[in-house]
Amino acid sequence: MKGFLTVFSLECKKVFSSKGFWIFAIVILMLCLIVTASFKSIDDLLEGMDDSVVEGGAGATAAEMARYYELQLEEYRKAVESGATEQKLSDTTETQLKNMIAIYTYCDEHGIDPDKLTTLGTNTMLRMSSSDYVTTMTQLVFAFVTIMSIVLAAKTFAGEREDGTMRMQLTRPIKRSTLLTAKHTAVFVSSMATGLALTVIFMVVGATFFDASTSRVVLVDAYQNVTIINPYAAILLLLAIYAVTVEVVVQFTLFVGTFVTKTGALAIPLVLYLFAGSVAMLLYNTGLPFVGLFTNLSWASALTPAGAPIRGMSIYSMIAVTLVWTAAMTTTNYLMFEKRDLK
Amino acid sequence: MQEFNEKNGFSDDVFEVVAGNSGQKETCGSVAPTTLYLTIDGVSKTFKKPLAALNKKAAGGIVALDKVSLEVGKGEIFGILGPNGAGKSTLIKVITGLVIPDSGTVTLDGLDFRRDKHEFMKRVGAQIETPVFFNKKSGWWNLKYLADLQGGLPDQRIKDIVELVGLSSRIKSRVGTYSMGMRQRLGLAQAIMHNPDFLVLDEPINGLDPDGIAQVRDLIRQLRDCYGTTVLFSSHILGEMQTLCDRVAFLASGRLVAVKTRAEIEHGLGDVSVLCVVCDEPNRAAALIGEKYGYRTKVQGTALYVEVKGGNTAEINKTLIENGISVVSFSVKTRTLEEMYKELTR
Ligand SMILES: Nc1ncnc2c1ncn2[C@@H]1O[C@H](COP(=O)(O)OP(=O)(O)OP(=O)(O)O)[C@@H](O)[C@H]1O
Ligand SMILES: [Mg+2]
Repeated sequence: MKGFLTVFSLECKKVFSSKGFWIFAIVILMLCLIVTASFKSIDDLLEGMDDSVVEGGAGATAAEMARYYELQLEEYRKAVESGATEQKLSDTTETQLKNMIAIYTYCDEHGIDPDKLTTLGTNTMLRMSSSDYVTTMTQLVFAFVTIMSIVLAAKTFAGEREDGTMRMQLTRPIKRSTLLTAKHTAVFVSSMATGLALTVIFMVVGATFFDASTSRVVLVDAYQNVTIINPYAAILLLLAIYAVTVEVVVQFTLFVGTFVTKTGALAIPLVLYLFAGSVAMLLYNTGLPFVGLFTNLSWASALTPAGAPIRGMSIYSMIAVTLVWTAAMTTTNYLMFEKRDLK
Repeated sequence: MQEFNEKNGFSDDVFEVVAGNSGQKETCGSVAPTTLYLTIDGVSKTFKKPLAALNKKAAGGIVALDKVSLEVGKGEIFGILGPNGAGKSTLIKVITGLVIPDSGTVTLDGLDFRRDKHEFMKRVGAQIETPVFFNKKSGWWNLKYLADLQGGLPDQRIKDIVELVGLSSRIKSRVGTYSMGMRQRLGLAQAIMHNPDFLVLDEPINGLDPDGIAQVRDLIRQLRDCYGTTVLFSSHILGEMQTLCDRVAFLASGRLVAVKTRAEIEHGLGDVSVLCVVCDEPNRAAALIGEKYGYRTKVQGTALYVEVKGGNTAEINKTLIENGISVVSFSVKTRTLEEMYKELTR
C-alpha cells in the first residue's frame, strides 16, 4: 500500500508538472468559454422575441402531446404487424415513443409545464438557464477530458514502455502490478480533477451570466418510470456517469497499449471514442444483439428519452455489461504486463 | 591531481560520497570473492513474435540466451564479453527482471528473483544499455523522481552523487539537452545513489571521454574495495575488462562459452601460445611441423604461425634448423585478450 501511494503520488506529480497537461487544460477552458459566449449571445438574441415563435410546440398541452405520441406508437405497431417495418432488437423507435408518452402523461398528471423540462442530453439552447448551461458544459468539458485521459494513458503506459523510461522505473523495487495500478489511478484522478475543476468554473460562470430558472431534469428508465430531479442532482449524476466513462476509456487505452505502440494506443481509442456515435448508428442498423457491448460508453442515453441502445435494456444491465468487460480488460492487462519483456 | 579533478568536476572524496555517511571512513582493502552472491542457473530466453509467444513449444524466434549458468562471488568484479547480439544485455535484463526468462532461475544473496523480487531489487543498482530519462525534465528532477520511487534520499546525498559523476554544472538543465556521455553519467548516478550491494552495468563506459572512463574504473574499484559491492558489467572495451575484472565471462550467440580469471587472461589461454617464425621456406616448415607435432599452422608471406600447445618451442626451432630451413626470426606470442576473445566468440 505504501509502495502504491509513493508511485501514485509520483505519477500524479509527473502529470501535473508537465506543460502539455496545462496547455491541454487551458485549451479546454478556452473552447468552453467560446461556447459560453455563443450561448450567451443566442440567449440575448432570443430575449426580446415572442415565445410562441421560438418554441414550436408551445401551444399544445401535455395531454395533447401524450395523445399525439400514442397515435404515432399505434401506427408504428401496425406497420410492424403488417410487415411494412421490420423490428430489430436494437431498434429504439418504440422505446423512444413510449418514453415520450410516459413523460407527457407524467406532466399532465402532476401539472408540470413540459417546456420547463430538460433531459440529461440537453440540446435546447433556447432560453438557457444556469442549470441547463452547467449540465451542457459538464458534458462538453468531459468530452475533452475523456480525450485528455486517452492521451495521458497512452503516454504513461505504452509511451514510457516504448521510449525506455519504464525500464528505469522497474529496476527499482516496485512490483509491476503496483506500477500499472498507480499509473492507471493517476491518469483517472488527474483527468477527473481537471473535469471537476472546470465544472466548478462553469457553475460560477453559469450563476453569473445566466438566469437561474426553475427548470427540472427528467429521467426515464427502460420501464418508462419517470423521475424529475433537481438540476444540481443531474450534474452530480453526470459526473458519476463521466467518472465511469473516463475509467472505461483509461482502462481501454491501457488495454490497447498492451498490444500496440504509443501511436496505436493513442489513435485507436481516440478514433473509437470520437466516432463511437457513428459506429453505434451503423451497428443499430444491423440490429445485432451485441450492440450494447460497443455502445455502453454512451449509457447516459439510457436515462433519457433516447433510450438504451438495445430495446428494453435497463441501466443496470448496461452497468453489468460495462463491469464485465472492464474486468476482462483489466485482467488481460495485468496478466500480459506481468509476462512482458521490456526494452 | 587535485587540480585535474577539480577541472573535470570530479569529487576527490569518492569514499565519503559512496558510503553516504560523511566522516565515517572505513578501511579499504581487497575483498576476496569467497562467498557466493549471484547464481544464474540454466537461464534460456527465446524472443518470439507476440502471438508465437503464447505457444511455448512453437519453434522459431531469436535465441538470445541458451542455458546460461554462472556464479558470481560476493565482492567480485565480473565482466561479460561478447559480440553484438551475443545476449549480454538480455542476460542483464533477466537479472534485473525486465526480461522474463523461458526457464532457469536467478538467485541473489539467497533470494529467488521470482519469489522475493522486492527484496532482490532492493539490493540492485542498475544501468541498462543507454539510459533513458524524461527528456523534458532536468537531470535533477529525474534523479529525485527515481530516488523517490525507492523511498527517497536526502537532497545532499543526491548532490554528492551528482558531484561524484561530474554533472554538477548541468544537473539543472533538461536531459534532452545532454550529450551521450552526460546521459551515461546520469545513468551511473541513478544506479549508485542508493549505495546498492549489487551493481549491474551494461556498457557503462560507452560514450564516455577518457577522464570519464578512468573515473568509472576508479569508482567501480572503490565501491568494491571499500563496501564489498559486487559488480557485474558488460563492455566492448577489452582493455578495461582486463584491468578491472576479477573474472570475465564470454558469451557468443546466447551461449556461455568460457569464464576466465584475470590470471588466465594475463598469462594466455592455458599453455597454448602462438609461434611466429620467419624463414626462407615457410610452406615446407609448415608441412614439417604439421607432420611431426600435429599443430595448426598458417602461412602468411614468409611468416609462419604455429599454434603451440605445451612449452616445446625450443624443440620446434631445433627441428627446423636440423631440416635445413634458415630461420630469420623466431618469437613466441602469448595471446592477448583480443585474440582470446576472437577465438572464444567465433
Ligand atoms: N525485445 C526483443 N525482441 C526480439 N529480439 C530481441 C529483443 N531483445 C534482444 N533481442 C535479440 O536477442 C539477441 C541478443 O540481444 P542483446 O541485446 O542481448 O545483445 P548484446 O549482447 O547486448 O549486444 P550489444 O553488444 O549490441 O549490446 C539479439 O539477436 C537481439 O536481436
Ligand atoms: Mg547490449
